[in-house]
Amino acid sequence: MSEEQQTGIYIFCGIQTDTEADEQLGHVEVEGEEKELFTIHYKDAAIVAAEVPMKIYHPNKDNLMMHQSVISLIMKKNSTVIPISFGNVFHSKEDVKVLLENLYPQFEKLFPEIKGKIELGLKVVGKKEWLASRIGENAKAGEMAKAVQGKSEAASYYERIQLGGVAQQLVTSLQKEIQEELFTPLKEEAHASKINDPLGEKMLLNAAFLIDRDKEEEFDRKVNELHDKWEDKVEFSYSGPWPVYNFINIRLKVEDA
Amino acid sequence: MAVQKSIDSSSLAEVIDRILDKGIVIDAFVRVSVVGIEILTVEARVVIASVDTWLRYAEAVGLLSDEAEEQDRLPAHQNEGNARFSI
Repeated sequence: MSEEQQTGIYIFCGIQTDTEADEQLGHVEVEGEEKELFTIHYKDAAIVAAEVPMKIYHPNKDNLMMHQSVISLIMKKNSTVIPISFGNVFHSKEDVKVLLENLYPQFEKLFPEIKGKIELGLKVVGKKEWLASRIGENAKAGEMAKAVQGKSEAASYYERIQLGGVAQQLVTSLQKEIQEELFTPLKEEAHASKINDPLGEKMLLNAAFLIDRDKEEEFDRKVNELHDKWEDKVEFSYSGPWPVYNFINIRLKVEDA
Repeated sequence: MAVQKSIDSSSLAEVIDRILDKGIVIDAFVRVSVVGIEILTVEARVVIASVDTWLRYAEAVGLLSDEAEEQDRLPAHQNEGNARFSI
């Protein structure tokens, strides 16, 4: 390898654009160095990229935020943004162009679907007291919990496992309940919606919604109505607007030549 | 009381939950450049559980080993004859 630092092309997102000309997109700071953002075009599509030192970019906080902040910036200027996942560096602009040509049939279909839309995220976590009160309603669990009390951990090993099983069943049924009560009404307000796996045992819903940019306030109101109804029982973690990460699902497989 | 909407990029956890394995994902263990772009296959697929992927990814790039290997870990150059689409 030569001493000279090799550079590569880091890609952030795809956009729909009419102009072939390089728009003034701004700059990004990559590991302490200011880099200019540019676009690589094919037909009415382009990929937003920056020229960076060729290496593996670690998913540390700065790098992750760098990636996200560029896509946020582009979303302010362009209404049709297809996010690309973190950490992809190509050898040359030509390679990115080939990639874009390969992706174009998908982009063509996606553009009208996501134009002017944003993603909003809602995670719902059960409050400890509410979860406890719900398990208290379960006679079987109450009995089992009593049986475990006062015994050493070793002596009540299997009872504890059974108790855990009952608790898990309860959480699963609460997840269903939350889906019906919270997710379903919100789903009706959205173009599309998606449920992801909950993160952690107390999370009852991990959802994403695809919303028209100009319907955002309306959706906020709806979330607030539901929050008013549920705030004693669960915590809401509501976030956005996001690039439509949860609604783009393209996996490129790299095959060995 | 109204629920506050946190704006994007204010929460690292929310960012991680999205940008590592969602959107357009290039599924290669070593995510630097692409071997033979012309045979790249485009495939829609259900995204697997994100935390697990995140951990595997973090491990794959050595993040879990305290960033001891911050240095470039580029694969060796091959196929010098046809450099355009090779690593």
